[in-house]
Amino acid sequence: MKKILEVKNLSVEFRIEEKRIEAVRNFTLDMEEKEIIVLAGESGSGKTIASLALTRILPALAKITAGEAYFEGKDLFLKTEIELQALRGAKISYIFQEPLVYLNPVFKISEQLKETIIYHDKISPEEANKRMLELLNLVKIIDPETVGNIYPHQLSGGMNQRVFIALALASNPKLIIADEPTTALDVITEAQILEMLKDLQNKLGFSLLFITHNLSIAKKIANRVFIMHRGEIVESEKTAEIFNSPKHIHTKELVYAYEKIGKL
Amino acid sequence: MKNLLEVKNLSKIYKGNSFFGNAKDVKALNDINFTLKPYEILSVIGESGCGKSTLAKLLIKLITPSSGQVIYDTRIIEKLTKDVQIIFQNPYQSLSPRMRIRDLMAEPLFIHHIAKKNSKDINNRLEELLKMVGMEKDALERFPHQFSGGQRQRICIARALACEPKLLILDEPISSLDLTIQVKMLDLFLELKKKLGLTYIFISHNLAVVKKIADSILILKEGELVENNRTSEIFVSPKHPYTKKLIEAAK
Ligand SMILES: Nc1ncnc2c1ncn2[C@@H]1O[C@H](COP(=O)(O)OP(=O)(O)OP(=O)(O)O)[C@@H](O)[C@H]1O
Ligand SMILES: Nc1ncnc2c1ncn2[C@@H]1O[C@H](COP(=O)(O)OP(=O)(O)OP(=O)(O)O)[C@@H](O)[C@H]1O
Ligand SMILES: [Mg+2]
Ligand SMILES: [Mg+2]
Repeated sequence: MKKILEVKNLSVEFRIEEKRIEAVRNFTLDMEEKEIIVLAGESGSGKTIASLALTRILPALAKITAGEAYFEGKDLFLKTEIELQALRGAKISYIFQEPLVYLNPVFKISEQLKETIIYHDKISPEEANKRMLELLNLVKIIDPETVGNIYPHQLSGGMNQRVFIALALASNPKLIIADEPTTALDVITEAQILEMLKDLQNKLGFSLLFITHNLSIAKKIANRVFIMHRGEIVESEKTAEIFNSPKHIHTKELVYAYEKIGKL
Repeated sequence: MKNLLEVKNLSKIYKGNSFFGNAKDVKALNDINFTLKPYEILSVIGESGCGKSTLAKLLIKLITPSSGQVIYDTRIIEKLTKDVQIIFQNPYQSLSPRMRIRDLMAEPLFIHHIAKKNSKDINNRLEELLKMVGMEKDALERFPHQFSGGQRQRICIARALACEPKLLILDEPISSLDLTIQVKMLDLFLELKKKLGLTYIFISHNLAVVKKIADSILILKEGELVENNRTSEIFVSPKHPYTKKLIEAAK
């Protein structure tokens, strides 16, 4: 199997006045093509910051202090800002927890999708329209023609997340990084979105890095699970192993919480 | 035992808003009936938008019903009362960012005339409340953004407890927290219930949580009450197809 992503000893710190906070420490992770990896850990363990560091879209005060990252064998940290821009949103797409923060409230859904498609595919507006309907169909938006014509705030949380996923798919990415995309949704909607992501992954063959604090998601979709604690990966294993014989104390804590309230 | 709460034919229609260009009325709740005995935990569950928060707001009289009644301890509730307190979905939004925790917590004591301003006892009371939710007294001098989500939620709980409520409504109080902290918060709720003799209405969309703490469950779908039964009954023999679907999705 070919590696799509390899991260070695990545460290990221925040510098606030005199103080340094190491948000990510010695973070090492590898991912094969078409693999679904869940990156799990308690709140504040550094999951988001580690994932943002890969394409250098970190908050202002954060700095990568050590480490290497390779995407399809090419060094990500050697890339210039312009090369990275081409990569972000093209070969690597992000899906975030709160789509409303990222969808532009004053543009119709159809306009935002078409703009993204034209930006990546350099095709005519008519072709873009066709592609947009195709994408909305992919994310199972029934009646895409009408839904495309309304504004983000008019849709429910689940529908907005579908639109956001359609946006992420628009560029035919190789790797999708999904940061808690279902945490704000109810159980039924969450189950639907997870199933859909898995289907899409199967159909389109991208790799999926799924970030969550809830191990029930790992159980449903992951090939392997990486457990993070205080900036570090403390355990990584095949999904079944994580549940059957968790080794690290923090993995055990997450499995315990899952057993208690993560499942019926 | 007498009912602590009785809800009769409660409905809420939000009038259409022309600002959003959709002047249609939203039927958020339709003809809801249920009762609640003291010292019990009733859970309200259902998909996003089914009317859970609307029900919570009606129960504390934050909004007025289109029809129906809320009867608390045999009296019809007309306005906000200190006996019924609520903790909202998002702990950050419900704590005003520029106030110190001390002032945020003391505010309801003045509003409901439980304490006089400048009284010496207030400090002791606030420290006691913080201790109850497992926090140190030095939190009093800090601001909301200086705490984690779980800590902020504890502060909201301490503030609600300041009024010595009988009924505490929790609107998805822990959904935004990580699972490990959720487990700790649930234990805290159960402990406070025992210690203070509270009755809870616990709104959630996590069935595993509800199964763990609720005595009975009320299931809403698009503003309609589809099933209301003891927790054990709901999980052992769900009646409505929607209930079955919810349980299936949570597995
Ligand atoms: N803008 C910022 N300024 C200062 N510190 C920050 C900032 N963003 C994050 N941090 C710190 O970096 C650490 C890692 O944060 P990160 O957001 O990656 O956690 P996470 O695992 O994604 O948590 P969650 O599950 O709550 O999203 C935390 O200790 C956090 O307090
Ligand atoms: N102030 C309002 N004006 C108009 N419609 C509203 C208002 N508040 C809520 N609604 C609508 O009423 C319905 C019920 O909303 P409510 O907030 O009670 O749902 P909920 O079950 O709490 O959902 P969630 O799980 O997302 O919190 C929804 O369709 C919502 O869009
Ligand atoms: Mg995060
Ligand atoms: Mg709500």
